[in-house]
Amino acid sequence: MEKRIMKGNEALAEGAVRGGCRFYAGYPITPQSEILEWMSWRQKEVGGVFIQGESEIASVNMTFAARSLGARALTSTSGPGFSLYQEGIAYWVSAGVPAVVACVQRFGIGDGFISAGQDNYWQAVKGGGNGDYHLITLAPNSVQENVDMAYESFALAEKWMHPVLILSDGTIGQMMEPCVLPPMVDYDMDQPWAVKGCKDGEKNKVITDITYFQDIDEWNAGYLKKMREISETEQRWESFCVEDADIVLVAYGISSRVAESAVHQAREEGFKLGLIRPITLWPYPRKAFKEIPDTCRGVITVEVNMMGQMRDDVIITVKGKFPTFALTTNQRIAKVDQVVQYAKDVYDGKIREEEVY
Amino acid sequence: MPARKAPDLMYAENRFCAGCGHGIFDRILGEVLTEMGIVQDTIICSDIGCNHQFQFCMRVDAIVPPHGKMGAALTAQKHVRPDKYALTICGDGGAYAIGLGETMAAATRNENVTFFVMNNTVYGMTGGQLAPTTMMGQKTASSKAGRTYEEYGENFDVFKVMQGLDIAYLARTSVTNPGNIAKTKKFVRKALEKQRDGKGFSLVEVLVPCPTNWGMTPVKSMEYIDQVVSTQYQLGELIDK
Amino acid sequence: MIRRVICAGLGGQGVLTAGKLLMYAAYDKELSVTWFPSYGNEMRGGNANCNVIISDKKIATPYADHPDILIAMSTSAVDIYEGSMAPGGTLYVNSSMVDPDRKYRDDIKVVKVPATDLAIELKSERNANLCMLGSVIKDSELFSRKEFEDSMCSYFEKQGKGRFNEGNCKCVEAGYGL
Repeated sequence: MEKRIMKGNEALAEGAVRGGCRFYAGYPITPQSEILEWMSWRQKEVGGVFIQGESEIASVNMTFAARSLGARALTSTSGPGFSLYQEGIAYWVSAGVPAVVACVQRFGIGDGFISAGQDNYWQAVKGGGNGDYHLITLAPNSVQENVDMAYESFALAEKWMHPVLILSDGTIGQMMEPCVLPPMVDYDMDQPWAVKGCKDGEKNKVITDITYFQDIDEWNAGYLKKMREISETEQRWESFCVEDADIVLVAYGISSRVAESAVHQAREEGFKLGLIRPITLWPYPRKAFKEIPDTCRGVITVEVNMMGQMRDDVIITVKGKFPTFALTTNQRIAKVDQVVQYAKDVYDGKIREEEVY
Repeated sequence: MPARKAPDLMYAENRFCAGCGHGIFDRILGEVLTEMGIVQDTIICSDIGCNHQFQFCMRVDAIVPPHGKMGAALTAQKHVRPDKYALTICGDGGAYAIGLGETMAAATRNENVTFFVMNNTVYGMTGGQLAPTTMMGQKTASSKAGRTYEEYGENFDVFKVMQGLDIAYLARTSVTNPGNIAKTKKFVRKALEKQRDGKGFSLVEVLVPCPTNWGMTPVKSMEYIDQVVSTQYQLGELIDK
Repeated sequence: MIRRVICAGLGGQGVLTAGKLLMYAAYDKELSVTWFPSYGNEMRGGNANCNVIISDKKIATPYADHPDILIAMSTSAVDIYEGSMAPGGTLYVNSSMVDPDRKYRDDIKVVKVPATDLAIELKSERNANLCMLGSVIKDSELFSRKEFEDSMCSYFEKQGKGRFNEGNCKCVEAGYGL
C-alpha cells in the first residue's frame, strides 16, 4: 500500500479513481475545485473521461448519462452547486443509477461563503430533489476517510443500485494529512444493466426516471423495501466514552474531530462527556444511541451552521428520552473549550432546549 | 399500393395524436438507423415531452435525463462510448428554451453528437403554450392575443443563432409531403454520417404539425406548415462541412 | 506529545510553505500530523495562516485553538494570535517586521528572530520563512537540523525546485545559528 501526504480533496479524487471511477464531470467551486483539477489530468492517465461541464446542471446530467452507459461516474460540488444538482440526483434515484456525488460543504444560504460549513445536511439526508427518497450518505472526517469512502462508494452504490453521497466539508477538503492509498480496482463498464445499444432480438433498455416500464405499485413497494433494508444494514458510526456519559455529543465531519478533542479534555477534567460520530448520515446510526445511559442529562449536536440541522435526526432517534441541544457555531468551527463549556452548562441546567437553533 | 413495411425496430403502433408529426419522424429515423445498420450502436437521449413516446414504439436503447439536458447527456455519452451514436429526439422547448444553455454549450464545443429537434412552435404535451419558436402573432394557450415583439422579442430561429458556429451540419426540413419526407430522411442520414465520420455537432430541425394544439385538422396543419411556418423558418441545409 | 502550531503572516511571506515543511518533517519522523490552511479569498494578499498539529498519537482536532508554538511573520500575526496562545507556549516573532518595543504576554516565551534581515543578507528575501524555521527547530527541539533539512530538501526536490536546496539550507542555518 502506498502512503503519502495529501490534501483532502485530492485524496477524495484519487480514492475514487482507484475505486474504478472512469468518468468525472464538474464545475469549479470553492472549496472543492481540487477534485476537479485532479481529475482533469488523472482521468487521462487512467484512460477515463474528464469533462468540465458548462454548469453544475450540465455536470450532474453528464454524470447521469455516463453512469447509464456503465462507467463508474463521480461528480463533485459545494453548497450552491449541490442545490443545482438536486433535480439531477432525483433522476439518478428514480432511474436506479448508481452514480456518486461528493458535496464539500461550505457555510451560508444562497451563494453563502467559501469557509467550511455543514449547511447541506437537510438537503443531503431529507431528499432535496423532487419526490421522497434518501441518499446513502457517507460523512468522512479525515483525509484517509476521503480516500476510503470515495474508493468504496461505487461498490456500495452498485450493491443497492442507488446513488451515494459523500458529504465532506471545507476543512476536510482543504486540510492535509498522511493517508494510505488502496490498489487500483479494475471495473468492467460493460454491465448487464447499462445501455450500450440494443442488439437484434434483444429487449431494449431505457434508463428513465419514470416507471413506464414497470407497474408503479410494484416499483414503489420495491423501493420502499430497499430503503428499509439499507436503513437497517448500512448504519455506521463511531462511539467515544458513551457508556457512562453524563452528556453526549453528536457530531460528524470536521465537527466530530473538534468534539473528540472536547471529550478528551473534559475527561481529563473529570467531566463525563461522550461522543457519537455518525459515519453514515443516512441511514442515521440509530443503533448507536441505545448505548447512552439513562442517567445522561442531554444530547448535543455540534454543527457548523445556524440551526442545528442534524438535531432533527437526534430528536427522531431519542424519541424524547433525553433533552436535545445544538451547539451551532455559524461560519466558525467550534473551539474545544467552547464545546466543553457548553456541555457543562447543559449538565448544570443553564441552557434551555430551543425549538429553533 | 401496399404500405411500406415498417423496419423491425418499430415494434408497436405509436401513441401520438392523430396527424402528429413526431410519429412520422420516428419512422423516418427507424428506417435510417436500419438502413445504416446501426440500431445496435445507437443510444438515444430522450427529451421529456411528446418526443419521448418513441420509447413505446422503437426497440432501441435510451436514457432520459431531465427536460432539456440533452446537450450535456449526449456529450457524456459520446465521450464514454465514442463507438456508439449519441443522438436525441427532442422538442423545440427542450432544445431552445429550458435546454438552450446545454444545446449551445454542446454546439460551441462542437461535440460529435446529433440533435433532431421537432419544431411545432408550441409546447405540445402541456397543452400548446408559447415556445421560443412561436411565430409573431401566433395565438397559443399562453398568448391568447398572439405573440408580440414587446412581450417576448423575436421568435427563435436556430439558423440565425448557430450560423457562425464551428459545427458540422445544420439543416431544416419538414414532413408535409412525400417529397419533404424523403428530404428529411436524407438530412437525418447525413447528420448521422457526420457523426460517424467524426465531423462534430449536427442538428436537424424538423417542422412538424401539432393539430391538437393548433386546433386544426391534420390536413389543414400540413397546409399551415407549407403556407405559413416554412415561410418564417427557412428550409434547407445551412451548414454542411 | 502534542504540539499545536500556527504559522501566520502576510500573503507572500511563505507561511503556508513553512507549515508544510514542518508537516513533512513530522511525517518523515513517523509522527501524526495535520495541516490546515486559510484558503480562498485569503490567498490573494492580506493575512495568511496555517494550523499544524504534530503528535505521537492520533490527532483529533486539526485546529490549534491554543497554539503551543506561534510563528508570527508580521505584526498582524502577533495581534491576531498572541492572545489565544497556551500559557507556557513559545512565540517566534519576526523581529525585522515588528516594533522592537512591543510588549508581550508574560506567561509565554518570546523568541525574536530577525528573519527578514537574515534573508536579505543572504540575498533571498523571500526565504525569511526558512530563516524563521531554522530558529524554531533549534529552540523547540522538534527536529534535529539534519532531520529538518533532509525533509525540506526532499520536499523541494519533489516540487521540481531542488536546485534551490543549497541556498535554502543556508537560510535554515542562519536562523539555527542565532
